[in-house]
This record gives sequence, structure tokens and C-alpha cells, in this order.
Amino acid sequence: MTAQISVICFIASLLLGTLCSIVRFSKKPKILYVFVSAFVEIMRNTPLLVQLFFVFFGIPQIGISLSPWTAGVLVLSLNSAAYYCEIMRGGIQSIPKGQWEAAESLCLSKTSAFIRVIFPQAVRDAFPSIANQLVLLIFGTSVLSILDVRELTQTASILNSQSFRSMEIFTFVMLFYYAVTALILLFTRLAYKKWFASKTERR
Amino acid sequence: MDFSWVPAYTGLFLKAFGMTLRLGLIAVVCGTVLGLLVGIVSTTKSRTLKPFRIVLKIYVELLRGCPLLIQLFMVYFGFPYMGINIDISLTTFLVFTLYSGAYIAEIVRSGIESIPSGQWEAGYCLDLNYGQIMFRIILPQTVKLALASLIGFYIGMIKDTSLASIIGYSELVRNGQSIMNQTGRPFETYIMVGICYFVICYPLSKLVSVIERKAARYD
Repeated sequence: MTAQISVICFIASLLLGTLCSIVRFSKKPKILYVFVSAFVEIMRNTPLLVQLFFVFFGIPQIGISLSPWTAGVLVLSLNSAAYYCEIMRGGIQSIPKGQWEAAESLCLSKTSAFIRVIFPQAVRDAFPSIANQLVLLIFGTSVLSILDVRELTQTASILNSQSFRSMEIFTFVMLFYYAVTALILLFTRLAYKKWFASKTERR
Repeated sequence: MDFSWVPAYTGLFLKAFGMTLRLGLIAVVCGTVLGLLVGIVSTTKSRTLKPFRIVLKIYVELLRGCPLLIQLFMVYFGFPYMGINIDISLTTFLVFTLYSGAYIAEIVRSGIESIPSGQWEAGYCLDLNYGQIMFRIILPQTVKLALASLIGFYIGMIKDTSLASIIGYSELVRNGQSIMNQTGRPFETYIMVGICYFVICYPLSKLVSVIERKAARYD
């Protein structure tokens, strides 16, 4: 269940975050820019738990009521999307102006230039941060256990109240999370070497 | 959208705000002290300290690879199971200090290791001993490098204090829950709680961008 939530939230937040970063970077549709900026700042400066309680307890007050799983996945995706927006925006902004000018001189439209020239380089720069945020996302799923979503932390909690063998259960869970984190970081390093480092360095 | 109950609850909000700040401050201060110590020891090269370095490395890796909530549960449920009984405040202070210590140790360690070894060599040339080089040459440069990520981490820490409410520590989110039960208005309650956190974190994150800009100016 943890893996399921993580994968869904990862894909959703990456897509949404990339879209938001494009808006924030280009500043073009003014109203959208203001809205996206406000959204990102609010999501980044308030805790995940508060956002979760707000959506799960607060939104029903104005009529829309969501299941714990839906609310959890929604909030986690939105929260992570805000962080991905900042990560991708940092990646995009670190590309030297020369790349944009070279693309323009080759008669590529702004959109084309972005998709084919700038974006791949931005992803390469931001790759470690993306992996880091994925790890934080997985840690975020453990917070969802508050809402009774049946994932790893909640299962540990339930087992704990059934059998009271706290130390063993939580040590096992801790090592499990650590193993998952270590695997992701290992995979990141390998993927980076395989996909990105072989290309000619920009600097 | 009715905020009329807010003035009546201002005292409670401020008290909870104070509890959150107290936890955040202890996590930040104690964590920084611990993190500095651990980070510096991790970069030493003497053989006598090797067992310490291995233990500290395991500590940092474990506490960074595991969610804060699991660590909180582990201490809160696990310690009484093993016979150690400490009250909630001390539990949360302990867990948050250890957690932030691990992260800050990693930040400090990577900062120290990114200082060019020429600095160390210059220090040894001038006949300074290890302590003098570390405290007068290396650490000031490390702090300047790491300041942006340190403050960014502190912001994350203040937000993570909200998790302490799950094990019963009486801070903003916990009091938010009881206010919500009393007033029956969760929507406005959590907006107010969110505003409290926003008011602390947003200026700090603006400070981080200012620091980053200033640090980049000299590169």
C-alpha cells in the first residue's frame, strides 16, 4: 500500500510540479502565475499534517467529503508538487542563457526550445533533488497513517497495540524504510551514471 | 466562513504557538550542537576515533533513512516497553534533537569535506594544530557554505514539530484539534493553524533566498 501510494503521488506530483514550474518560470499568464505562486508558497510553508487535517476535516464543512485514502493521496501529491515546482524551476533557471539564445538562433520556437533543449538539461541537473524529494515523499506516506490509511506505519501501529512488542516491530519497520531509502539512492546513482553523466559536460 | 470565534481563542493559540516554538527552538539549538559535534568527528582521520566514527555513521544513516514518525513511535512506545519511563516533553525533545542532529551532521560533514584541502595544508604550514585549524579556518567557511541549507532545514524542522501532536505533545495541531472539537468549525481552525506556521516559515524562506543570493555574489 505504501508503494502504491508513493508511486501514484510521485507521478502525479512530478507532472503537476513540472507544469507549475513552467508557469512560475515564464511568468506569462499573469493570473495563473499569481495563483500558482500562492499555491506553492502556501504548500511549502505549512506542515503536511496541517494540510492533511485541513482537507480531511475542514473541506467536509463546505460540502465535499473525501475518503481517507483519497484525501491522503491528494494532499501528498499537491504538497510534493509544490516542492517539485521549486526543484524544476531551480533546474531550469540554472541553464545558461546561451542555450536559449542558441536555440533561438536555430529558429526553434520558444516551446520547441524548451522541450528539446532546456528541459532535458534541467532534468539532468535536478535529478538528485528529484530523488531526494521522492524519499521525502515516502516519509510523507507514513504521516498518512494518522488518517487510518493502511500503510506501513499504520500497520506497525496496529500490530503494536495488538501485541505490544513495540521495540521489535518498530525496529523492523525502521530498517525496512532504511532499506527502501538506500535502494532508491543506489538506483539514483546508477541511473545518473548511466543516463546523464556520459553526455558531454556543459561546464 | 465564520471567523468570529477567533478572538476568544487567541490565548490558546498563543500558548500552543509558544509550545511549538519551544520544541522547534530546542530541536534547532540542541540539534545544531549535536550535529556540529557529530559532523566534525566524522571528518577526523585518527585511528583511535574509528569506532566512534563507525557508530556515528550508523546513527546518521539510520536516522536519516527513516521517517520522523517512526522514530517518535519507537521512543514513545518502545522505551516504556524496555522499562524506561520518560514524560512526553522529554520524549519529543529527545527524538527531535537526535533527528535534527543526524541531518545537521550530514550537512556539516559535506560542508567540511568540500573545503579544499589547501586550507588544511596552509594551516599545518603555519604550525597550527588541528583544533585551531578547525575552529579558526575551516568552520567559518563551512558555516558560510552551509548556512542556506541549514536555515532551510530549520524551516523543515519547525514544520515537522507538527508531528509531535500525534503522540500527544500539546502544540499547535493538537490544540487545533481540540479547538475544532469545541467550535465545530474545522475549516477555519486549520486555516488559522496554517497561518501560524506560514507566519514563521515564510519570512525564513525569504531569508534563505537572500542568503543564497548574497553567497553567490562572491562566486
